[in-house]
Amino acid sequence: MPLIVDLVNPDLALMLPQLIVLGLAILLLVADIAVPKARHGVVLTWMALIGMGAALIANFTMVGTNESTFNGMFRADDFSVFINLVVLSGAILSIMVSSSYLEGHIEAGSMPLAEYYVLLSFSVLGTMIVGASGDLLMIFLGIEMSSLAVYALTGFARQRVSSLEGALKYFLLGLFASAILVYGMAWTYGATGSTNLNDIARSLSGVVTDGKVEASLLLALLLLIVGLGFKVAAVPFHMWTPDAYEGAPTPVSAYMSVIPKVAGFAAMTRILVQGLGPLRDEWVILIGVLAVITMAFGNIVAVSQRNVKRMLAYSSIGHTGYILAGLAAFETINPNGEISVASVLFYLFAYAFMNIGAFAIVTWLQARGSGTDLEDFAGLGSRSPLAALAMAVFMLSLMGLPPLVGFYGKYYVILATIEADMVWLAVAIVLASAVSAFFYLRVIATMYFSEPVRETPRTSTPLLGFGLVSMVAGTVLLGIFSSRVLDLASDWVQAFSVPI
Amino acid sequence: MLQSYAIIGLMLLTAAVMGSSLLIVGRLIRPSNPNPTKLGVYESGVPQVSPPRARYTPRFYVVALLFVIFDIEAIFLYPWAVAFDALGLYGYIQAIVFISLLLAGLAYEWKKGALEWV
Amino acid sequence: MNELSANHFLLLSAALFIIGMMGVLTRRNVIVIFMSVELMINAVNVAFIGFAWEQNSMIGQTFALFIIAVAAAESVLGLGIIMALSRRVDTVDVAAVRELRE
Repeated sequence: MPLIVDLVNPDLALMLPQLIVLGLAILLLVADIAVPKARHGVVLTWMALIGMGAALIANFTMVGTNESTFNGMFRADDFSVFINLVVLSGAILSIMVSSSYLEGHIEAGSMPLAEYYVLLSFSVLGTMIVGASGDLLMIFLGIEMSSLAVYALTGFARQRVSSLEGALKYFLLGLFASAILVYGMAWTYGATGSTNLNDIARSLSGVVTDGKVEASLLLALLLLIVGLGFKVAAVPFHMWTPDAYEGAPTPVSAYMSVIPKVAGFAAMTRILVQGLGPLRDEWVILIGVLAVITMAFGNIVAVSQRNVKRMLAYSSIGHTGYILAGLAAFETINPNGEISVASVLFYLFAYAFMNIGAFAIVTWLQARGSGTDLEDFAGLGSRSPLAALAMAVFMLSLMGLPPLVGFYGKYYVILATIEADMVWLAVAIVLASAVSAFFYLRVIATMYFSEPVRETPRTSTPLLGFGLVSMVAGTVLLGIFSSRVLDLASDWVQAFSVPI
Repeated sequence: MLQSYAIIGLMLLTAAVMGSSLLIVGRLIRPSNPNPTKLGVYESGVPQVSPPRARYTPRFYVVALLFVIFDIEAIFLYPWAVAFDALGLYGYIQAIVFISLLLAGLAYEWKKGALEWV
Repeated sequence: MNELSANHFLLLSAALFIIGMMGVLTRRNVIVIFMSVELMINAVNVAFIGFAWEQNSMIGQTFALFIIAVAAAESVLGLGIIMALSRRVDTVDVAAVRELRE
């Protein structure tokens, strides 16, 4: 075999946001040992917040670049910039939610802050790598980095069996999914002779013109979709979701409902749109059917849940369905007016704010000695009106009420499906949203129209409060300025245009 | 292809026939005289005092887990060693960075007490 | 037909992958499920090596190296979770761990 030594000096400047997060993770490891235990709370939380903030700022300087380095393995383009924006915002919000929970002794036993933030940073880094990858290898490594850290975070309440059990189920199914995904990558490599996404697209564009696709490629496609379906919790690959979300410490549930899902969708978009774009006719129908089953199942099962964390788990399965519908509306990489992938990106951004917000309210209640059942929300409207108002905003946004951001998320997805002549998908989204109104409104009704069963003790959680304010503001403001965000997301076309 | 499989099959068959025939012949001609002493685990040794499947302390597993990680990292050094000349100084520096990251991980483990045999 | 071809690698890899998958789907012991998944991952390695051998390129071999490293990290994490759990419930039967069912 020829020994190819092509050592191009890597352009590290392109990796600035990722390098900042990597540096943050390593600094946190050092600080864990160097900083005295008593001051961990303040020092580490602010280190994590400042580090993520710096990466977010660095990310904004990258807008408009479209370059690759490491022989095309790593890409800095408009797609990766938007994924970084979603992931880093989600991470900052999750850190704000986490600190009071971890220090508030809500769980039995100690919850070491440093390790928590380190794992969180590595998971964020993995997701950013998926967004910026130009090669199947990078996608695999990024997804694994992202999910391995989250498996550990799920089992972070080591004294509680349900936490470890959730972690074990998540881990076993996640590992199973990884094996299937990487087998799909092997077949893709075998059928196209490359693992570079642009090379795959180039080698496929010649093959598919006569309308016949090789069996090995179809096998690869199926394996990839099943593997990624597990990662984004699409039905029928969702079995781990409710247990993992309910068992995990609540801030971790907030985090894992968004960031690993972003990793899954980023990988799906990179692989299916950028790499397997020429096979569009084959996979669009699969993703579309998956979307309908997922949104129907998630929203219908959520109706019967009495535990709010479990209900939010099923609702997040439903939202996976909406996002998949946006992906199913993909037609071609077209500079004018193709909004399918843009609607996926927009929905992920919107979802980060409203879903972490909903879990943040559960955390807020738990910090005040409450449980996670629906009854614990009874009378919240009179007990603590501000928290109830925030929860109402998140629920209405998840339901899709204008002018909140959740409405625009669904609106753009529906628009994309109609542009792609997939009216049945649009109808399914509307019907599923109607079902979802039932359980979202039930939370609001419980908060405002039920008698309070207990008092809310006064506890000071300043950072969580600030996080809640920013999430409410984000849910409202992103809705109002939705067209600006969509413009930024629409630049994905530049990122995926294959130079031939 | 079939021919080469036939050779393998013949070999397997020979092995099976030889092994089983030795066992059967031995069973037919050896004396059979079972008694409790003879059936003990050690016919002429000390009888066992505890269940043979003793539970190991989890510390063994911790050390084993830490070992697996460092063991696997070695596979990245082999390709580098093979291509050492071609990669030159640039590859050398990268390998040093890789190894020092591993060393930092080891230092972290040590400092956190994961290597203590309490 | 006497020559070794990529098909032989792929048959072996498919067989290993299916055996592993059946193990995951039918067994109840966490450790055995875990070993089955490892078998699936190694089946993928065989496929990668086979394709790399067929195409005479290094990409597949490199990929397999990274898969081995990731699989090691995964097994360490998984055994860590299983150890933490077995301290609490003293079983390795997935069916016995069911606090979180509806």
